[in-house]
Amino acid sequence: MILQKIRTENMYLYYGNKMALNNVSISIPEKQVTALIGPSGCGKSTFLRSLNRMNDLIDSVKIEGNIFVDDINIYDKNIDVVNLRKKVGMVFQKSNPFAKSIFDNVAYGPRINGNNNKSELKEIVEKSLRDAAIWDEVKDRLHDSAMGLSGGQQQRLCIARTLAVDPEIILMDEPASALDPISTSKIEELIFQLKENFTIVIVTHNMQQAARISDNTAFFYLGELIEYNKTKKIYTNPDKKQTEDYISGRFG
Amino acid sequence: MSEMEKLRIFDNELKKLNERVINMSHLVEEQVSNAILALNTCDMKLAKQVIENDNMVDKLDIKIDKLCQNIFALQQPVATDLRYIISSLKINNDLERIGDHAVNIAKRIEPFCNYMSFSKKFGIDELANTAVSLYKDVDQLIKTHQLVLANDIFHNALIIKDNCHKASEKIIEEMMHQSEVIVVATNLMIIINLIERIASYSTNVAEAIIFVVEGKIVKHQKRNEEH
Amino acid sequence: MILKRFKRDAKGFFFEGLTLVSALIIITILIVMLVVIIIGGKSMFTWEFLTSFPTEGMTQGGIFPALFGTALMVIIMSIAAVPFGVITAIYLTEYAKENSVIARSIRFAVRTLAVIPSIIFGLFGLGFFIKFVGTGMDSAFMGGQLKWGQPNILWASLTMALLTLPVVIVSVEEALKTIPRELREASLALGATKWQTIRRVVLPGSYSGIMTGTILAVSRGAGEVAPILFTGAAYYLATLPGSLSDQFMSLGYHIYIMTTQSANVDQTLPIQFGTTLVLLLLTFSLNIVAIILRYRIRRRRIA
Repeated sequence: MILQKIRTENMYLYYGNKMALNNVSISIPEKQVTALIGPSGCGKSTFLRSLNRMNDLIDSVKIEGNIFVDDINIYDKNIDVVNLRKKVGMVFQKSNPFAKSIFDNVAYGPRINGNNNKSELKEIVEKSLRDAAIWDEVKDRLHDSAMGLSGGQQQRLCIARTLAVDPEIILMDEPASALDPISTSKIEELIFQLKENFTIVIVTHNMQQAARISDNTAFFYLGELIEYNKTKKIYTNPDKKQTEDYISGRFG
Repeated sequence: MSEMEKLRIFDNELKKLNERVINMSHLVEEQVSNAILALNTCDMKLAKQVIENDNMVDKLDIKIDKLCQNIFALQQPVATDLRYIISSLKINNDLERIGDHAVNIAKRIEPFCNYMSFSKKFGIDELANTAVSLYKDVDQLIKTHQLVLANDIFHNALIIKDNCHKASEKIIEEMMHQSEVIVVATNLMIIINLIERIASYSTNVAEAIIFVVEGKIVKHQKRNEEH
Repeated sequence: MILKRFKRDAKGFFFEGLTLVSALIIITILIVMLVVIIIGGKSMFTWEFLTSFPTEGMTQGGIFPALFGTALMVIIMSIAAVPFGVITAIYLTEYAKENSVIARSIRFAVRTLAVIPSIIFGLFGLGFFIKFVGTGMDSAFMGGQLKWGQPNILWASLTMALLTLPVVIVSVEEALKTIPRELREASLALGATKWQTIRRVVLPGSYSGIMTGTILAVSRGAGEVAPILFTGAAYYLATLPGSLSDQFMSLGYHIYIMTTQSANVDQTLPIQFGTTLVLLLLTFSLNIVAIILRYRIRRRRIA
């Protein structure tokens, strides 16, 4: 039986008075890749960012309904956001390494958690970089600045940095949208490998990418979850006409 | 949502594909009708024309294949578009086979005509005509995508197949009594077999159209007689 | 038609000329000023001038105590103004809501502080630091004995710190804003707290901005006279300031005295030029360093 890692129930999200998510109920299975697709402004990124409470940073955001991670309501008053974010990591659209060395970038998470044991940090950094399929490219220059890496390498470094915190869920917000096709395919391969151990939720504008890498696809439109289904089903015979029109490029 | 729908460049390609498949279907319809007419009237000239026209069918077949190939490569179709193009490829293939069988019938008219009286005994002309009207339904179905036609096709194809079997059995029985008819009877058996194949391919086309419209795969299902 | 075009061209030519002339005037003034000061002060610009005390009733000798006093004053000023300014800037960019009443009030206050005439700061320093705080300290800790309730280098430096605070706040705020939102989000998404994010990501990235602010403040403070006029600067001192409660000499004030209060103004003219040249070189070089640092921040922002 497949475990449902994330579950939302009748979730509404407002920016001030503007409704951005309208009654979203979804169950996201463990150790699978779930893609969120839809035209710009449809709420998919907003939805993604509410799963690790990154929306908390925006003052005007108000959320109604429930979001459960492992059956724990993450908007409960007793929830420690910092711990939540360790469990639910995030990779962003623009690769955003810190202006530090490659090593220090990956060690950042463990260090803020109070781990200053040199040999342990070394181990974590190597493992994370290996898991992010970038170890071989950087192992000889771990103490060089991360800014000297190519865009694709930077993005894999950012994934390694996220892995170093040992999350269970990884949220990805268009992680390959700024990359060339070769870097993109490396990221896609990586995502495919990562789903062995992690639950991955990915926002993408690239329909073919969603089709290639995801197990489930959720189509958002105007803040509503229009259709949520197996990716194979969505791309061969979607239930909703809106989904069909969007994925076959008739609008959006 | 509907007012946001836009015409894609891709839609022109799909329209072109649709037109070509319809043309192909008409062309094959002509081939089948003419082949059967030539068979029933022993019109050798018409038979020759059917044989010659086959290269038109072949050319169109290649054009449709290439168009589908291009759409796959360049447009990465999904959903209905994807199903439509997959089906077009299959339908195109089936139509081309039906066209081939029309030609094969035309090729066997000459030896067969010498024994007209013999063939009349088994109602081959009747059987051949039902195949023509079956194919007319297929042609309509390709043009209109009206699924009610598909059901007619399944139904009539079964009847034709059944009649073909019955006719074959009769011929075999005849051959056992009169050994001198073996040559003509064999020819006749081949023609019956070709008619049966046409019915069979017609069923395939109908299944492909259902796949386009409903997204359901209906082939390899046991269809009972009431269908 | 031709006439009209001629008129139009003439008009354009006239205004182009006007702007060019204005620009030339400004450059000329600057060049004349520099040339006069350099020619006048060049002969005085010696190691000895910089390192010796004034002699002969300040008509001879060097400017060492003024140089030392200015340096000490800006150091104390920076120790007060920079941490305070950085903390305020951090509050404004990281904690305060962009359009909250409190953030808007602080920004308004900073802007207002920046345009208050410097003599007012001097008066404020006199009234607040010396009369209020200093006298209060004397009566509380010194048993009424006069120690803090009079002008000294501490009160002068703190008054100057008030004057330069807006410079620090604005520079640091600008630098903090160049740290991309993505970096803060990356840190927060890794489970860092807000303070961890500021300390490990935001502040290290704003280092050159903080430096710029400090240098601009120092450069401003080194040249100002009015705020220290009543709060700590001395006409002449035979010794260097040895504690925070001592008075001090400063370059700007020294120039002022030499030109207006000297027994023999004509005789001290070379010293005036020399001191002016030293002050000018000091503020120029500080400003150039600040410009270079700021340029580096801007380039990073574009990249």
